[in-house]
Amino acid sequence: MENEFNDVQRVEKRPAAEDLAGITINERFRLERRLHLGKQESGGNFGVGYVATDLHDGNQRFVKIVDFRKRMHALDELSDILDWAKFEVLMHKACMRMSKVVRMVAHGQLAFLEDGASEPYNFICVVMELGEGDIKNHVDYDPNGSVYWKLWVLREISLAIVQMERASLAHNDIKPSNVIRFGSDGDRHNIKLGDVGRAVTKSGDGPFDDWIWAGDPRHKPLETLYGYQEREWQDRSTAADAYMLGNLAAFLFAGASMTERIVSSLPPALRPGTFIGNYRDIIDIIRHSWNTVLEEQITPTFPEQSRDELSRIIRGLTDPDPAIRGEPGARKTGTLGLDRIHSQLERIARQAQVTERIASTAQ
Amino acid sequence: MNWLLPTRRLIPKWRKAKFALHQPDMFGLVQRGNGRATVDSADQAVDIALHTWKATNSIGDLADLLAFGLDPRRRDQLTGPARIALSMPGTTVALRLVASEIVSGGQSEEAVWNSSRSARSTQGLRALLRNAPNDVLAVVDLAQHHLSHGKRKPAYRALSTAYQLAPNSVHVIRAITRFWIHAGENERAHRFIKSVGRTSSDPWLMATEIAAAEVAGAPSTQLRQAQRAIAVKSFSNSNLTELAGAIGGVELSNGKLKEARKLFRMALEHPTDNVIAQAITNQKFLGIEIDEQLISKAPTGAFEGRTLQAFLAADFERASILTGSWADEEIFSSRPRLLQSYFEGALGNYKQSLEAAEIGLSADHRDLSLRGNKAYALAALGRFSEALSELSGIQAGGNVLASQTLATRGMMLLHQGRFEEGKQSYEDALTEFELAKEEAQYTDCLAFYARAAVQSSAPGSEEITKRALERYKKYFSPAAAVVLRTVNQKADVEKPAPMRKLIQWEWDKQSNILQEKRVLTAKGAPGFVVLNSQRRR
Repeated sequence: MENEFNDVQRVEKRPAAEDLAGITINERFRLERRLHLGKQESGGNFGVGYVATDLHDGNQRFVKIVDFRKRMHALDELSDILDWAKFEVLMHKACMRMSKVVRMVAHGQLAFLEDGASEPYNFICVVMELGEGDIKNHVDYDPNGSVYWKLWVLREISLAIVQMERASLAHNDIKPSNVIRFGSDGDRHNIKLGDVGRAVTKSGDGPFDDWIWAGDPRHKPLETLYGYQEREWQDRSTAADAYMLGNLAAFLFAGASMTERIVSSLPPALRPGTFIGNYRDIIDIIRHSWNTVLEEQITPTFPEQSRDELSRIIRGLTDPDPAIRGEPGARKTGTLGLDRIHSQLERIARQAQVTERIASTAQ
Repeated sequence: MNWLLPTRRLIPKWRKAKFALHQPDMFGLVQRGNGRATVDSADQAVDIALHTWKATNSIGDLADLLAFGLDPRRRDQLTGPARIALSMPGTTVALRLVASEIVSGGQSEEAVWNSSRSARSTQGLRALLRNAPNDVLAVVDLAQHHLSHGKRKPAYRALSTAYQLAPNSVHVIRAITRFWIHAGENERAHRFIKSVGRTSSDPWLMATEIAAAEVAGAPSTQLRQAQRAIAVKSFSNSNLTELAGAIGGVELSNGKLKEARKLFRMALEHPTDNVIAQAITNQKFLGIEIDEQLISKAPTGAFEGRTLQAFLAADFERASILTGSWADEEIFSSRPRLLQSYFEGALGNYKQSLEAAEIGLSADHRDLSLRGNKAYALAALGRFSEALSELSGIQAGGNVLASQTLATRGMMLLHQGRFEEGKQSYEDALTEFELAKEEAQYTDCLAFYARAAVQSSAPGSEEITKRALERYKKYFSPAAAVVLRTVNQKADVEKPAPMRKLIQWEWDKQSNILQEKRVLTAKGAPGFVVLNSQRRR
């Protein structure tokens, strides 16, 4: 791949992964500043993030530095980190043409050779396009605030899931901090899905394909909390993405994770980690909790104009039974119908946009 | 006033979902856990979310952070941010509930199951079902709501839908059986439970079949298999509780007291409210003391058992409150309301008695005993024409409750100042009870007669009161005690005969160890004993 690099730099003393600001990688990416605590937009948890300037075009980039050598003492961990970093790059390559997934610009190794040392110390680098931040610090829960933006976010993420599904991939870690805002033209907000490092593949070649869940526990689909998995890949993985899209709607409108709400509503003996039976044995109870949580806590926060339709969509997306999750009509034809949901969300968002425009003109 | 309560059998309880959720019979053989719920979250992830929120101070980051409340281990760390969320204006209901859950724990469970607006009304349940027609628990609750308004057809339709949605659900199967028994179609109830494939492999359903067969007067198809299951301990003791109780009931009706006692002892190891109520009803035959210690072993509530216990102790104030809670659990059932109206009537709270009777009648307008209680309350409130109309309604139903009707008529006549006619009516009622050898009802009737005579200042009321007291001393009845107390008579509650205990606490004085012992004690043994270590050795 042309954007793959192996940059070896001679230094007196090797800098730590956290102290690389000011360094230019591969004569192209000048690291400007470090992002907090290693976690940043689209970065994942096991790297250090930097904002960099791309000297080729002047654009700002996001650079993730993985110091895998720090784990040399724990070989299992080292092997995992290398596998995951390799897989992340692979996933970015697979998602390169997807408009709604954060794009990788380059990747490679940055190595420092200290004077007198025989072997360089290397870091893995992944360079990605830089957004304006995730949606968390952009969202508000003012009932009179704009709903168009929220609906558009859902529309964009549904498209990202559709794009990944077409490539036989599922993201499986869709959460507010992985939904990245990019510059908008004022009318069309550009939202992308970041951090594909926890994705699962239909081919079964990914490191997380055998895991019940590799993503954030706060947004886990209900069945995975109980260690339950459907046999069909689509019902297992794409259905999990569908659930997380619904959960994202709950975050955008109600400020809560549905998973948290439903689990907290169950008696302790039936909660994950305590309950020792099969998920399907208590699905009726979970469904009642889910239904009540939606009816009383989530749906009332949806915009009045599209409440019924949006509620129907979110119910389809978050159904406790992964085998029937999705768009009911499409389910009859054997797919989850996320493309249909994407169209429906787009229509609702457009309606909201028109309503908001009329309201602002009237003012 | 009447005292017609049906002979109690171990027919399944059909509680609303929010109550059933805490009962083992909702789950059948599904194993529930008893450890601490855990959803693992990484320390680093929480630190990052906390750091991010502190840096941005945005509500979105706060909401994202508080979602870690899912992991109970994080609650201490999240209490501060949760308090901030609670004090912020413009937060959503859900976000406030998440924060409350973190700050105080257990709030959401209460919010969804106990304080749910949707589950409280037919309209709310319909709204839930409009959104999720396959919400089985809402369908079953809706059937209960229909039934509580006396609408049997819609209730049956709802239950049929629930059965189609969840044909293996123990909760649904038991609810349908209970429905048919409630509707008076005992044979149909038995036919249904007999036909369910799962019945032969689930002890909770076996127990239902045995009880349904007993009510229907048909031979049980599961009795032998159930006896074998108990003998070879095919299921865990906690799953055998109702089965042992149901077989115990059969043995009791066959007169095999020793066998029944053994089975009830087993049933009371992990008791349910149903088993406790059954054991209290048959306490006289079983000789087992059902005390608070034993009742507290049952899952939350046990309202029926506690009601019966309060009734036997002639504590009708408490019994009335408990029947209210019991009626909340089984809103379709007129039985708790029947008892409540009776208790309130005995206490002289006629308005409350009338109210309870009317609620009960809205669930089952054919319940003549309830109508009898209503007539009594109306008469006591001076609403004679309405009382008479109720009494005529009862009489139109055939020659049932004739003695009670005579007694109520007597009370009404006394209050109208027609003393001789009133007295005659009461005396006729007493004769009827005597002829029918209904000793307890005779005692009660005489106590009510005495009260009516005192309150209406009827001539000879002292003599009647004296008669009532003498009768009470001869044949104890809790209701008579309560009624006589309302006219300032000293009616002490008879101390029950000493019984055996199933739980005894032993305290070893020397080693300072207190332990619960589960044995069948000797009659009248104390609940707490101090052990002498030397003797123990």
